[in-house]
Amino acid sequence: MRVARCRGCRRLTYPAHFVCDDCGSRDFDSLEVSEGTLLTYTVLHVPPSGVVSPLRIGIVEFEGGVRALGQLAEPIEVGAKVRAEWTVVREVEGRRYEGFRFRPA
Amino acid sequence: MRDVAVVAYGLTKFGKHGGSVVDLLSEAGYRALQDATSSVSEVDALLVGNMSSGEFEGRSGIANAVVSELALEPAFASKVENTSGSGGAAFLLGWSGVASGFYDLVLVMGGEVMTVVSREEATDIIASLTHPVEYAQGISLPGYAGLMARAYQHRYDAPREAMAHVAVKNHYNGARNPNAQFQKEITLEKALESPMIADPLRLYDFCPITDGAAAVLLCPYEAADSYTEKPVLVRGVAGATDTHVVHEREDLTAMRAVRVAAERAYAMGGLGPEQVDVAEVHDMATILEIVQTEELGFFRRGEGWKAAMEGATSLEGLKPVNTSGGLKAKGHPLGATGVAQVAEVTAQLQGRAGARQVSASKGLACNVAGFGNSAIITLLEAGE
Repeated sequence: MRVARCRGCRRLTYPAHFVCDDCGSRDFDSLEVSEGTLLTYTVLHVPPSGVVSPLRIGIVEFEGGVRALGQLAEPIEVGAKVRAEWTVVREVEGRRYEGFRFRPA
Repeated sequence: MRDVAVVAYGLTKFGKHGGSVVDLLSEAGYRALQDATSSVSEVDALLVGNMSSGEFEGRSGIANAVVSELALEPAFASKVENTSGSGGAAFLLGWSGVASGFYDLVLVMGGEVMTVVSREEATDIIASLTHPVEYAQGISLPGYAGLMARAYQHRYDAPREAMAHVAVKNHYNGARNPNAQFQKEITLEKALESPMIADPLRLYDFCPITDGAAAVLLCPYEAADSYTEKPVLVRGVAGATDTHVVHEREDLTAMRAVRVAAERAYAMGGLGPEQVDVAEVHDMATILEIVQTEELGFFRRGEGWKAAMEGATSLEGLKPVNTSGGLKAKGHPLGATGVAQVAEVTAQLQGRAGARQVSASKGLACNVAGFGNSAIITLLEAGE
């Protein structure tokens, strides 16, 4: 579970961009993130194929302000601390998609 | 730059048609040409807003197909794609062609045929506009709306009922629009008890899957007399964008593209939000109408929900919003929407809106692409 860090201005983003939003640099390294706070979530009752139903999706803010959208492994309330894992989140016709999944910290 | 006028419009009924978008576009375009007071047998350009004719029905080259159906060759014709903002984008480009003097007569159209696939397939076709790292999670446009609705409720202590009020109001208006997909009023209870889709949003918080097309005819304002007795002046038109990745938005309860495009359009027209008498906004979900009425400057941030509950946006309110029924009740054939919004505001300013007519001399259309990835704002004024 890594986010991108601009080597020019240290700005954190997820995902990495073609150029840094702040300084225009194309030089990035990565940074491990693990714990954050749940900002909002929804529960999709008619989710697309290849995911669990109903599907809980939320947006988490990590230290340094970088955010990620990911699946919630169980019901979690807004404002709660979460722990992130990087895992297969969707599988469609044999194609696997990896991404963040969050659990209560 | 020259002043530009909207001089005619035409729409198909919105709903379930099937067939090809080429047929619906041809019908809407024909009606717009018939709406002009003089016979129009040639135009300089025909621009077609459309998102996914290839994905929905396996058709490409639809603008060239329509120009031929309408016997308007050898006019230049092209499709304009900007997802659910395709119609607004086509309008902006058509306006720029006439304003610059490059063209004298442009037929701007928008259309989509969506009901030929299942609701799930349609949702996934639309979800292809999202960033791959968000798409991979199973997110959809209704999902983003659910995330925004919860964040908005949390931040502003807004009751769930506020969003249902938007649905009830838009169904009321749709029942007064013969072209709307839904022409049935609903109760607050029905909206609040409909099946959960993207918690906290329910079925009646979302626009349906719709087929339809719309068209408007643009010419220099000074030549408008040749086509109509009631020209509508384009006072301002502007577009703006926001981050592709939705979780990167600074404020999850805001729509920066709408705010910036509106600021640009107001500056261009020398107008402020208090001078707008009627507006069509992009209520793909009820929460989006509330947030857009804030970003457009109609109400203060965090207070759009109160305006919705108090009836300020109803036909009888101070700021009527979505008199057509909006995307919620009129329907949302993706590429058609931006053009249909301009057609509705034009109808209001020309006094042709029938049972949903409001008193208005200036109006605004807000067409949004993606989940606020891009927005196109148009300011219109009844001409002399």
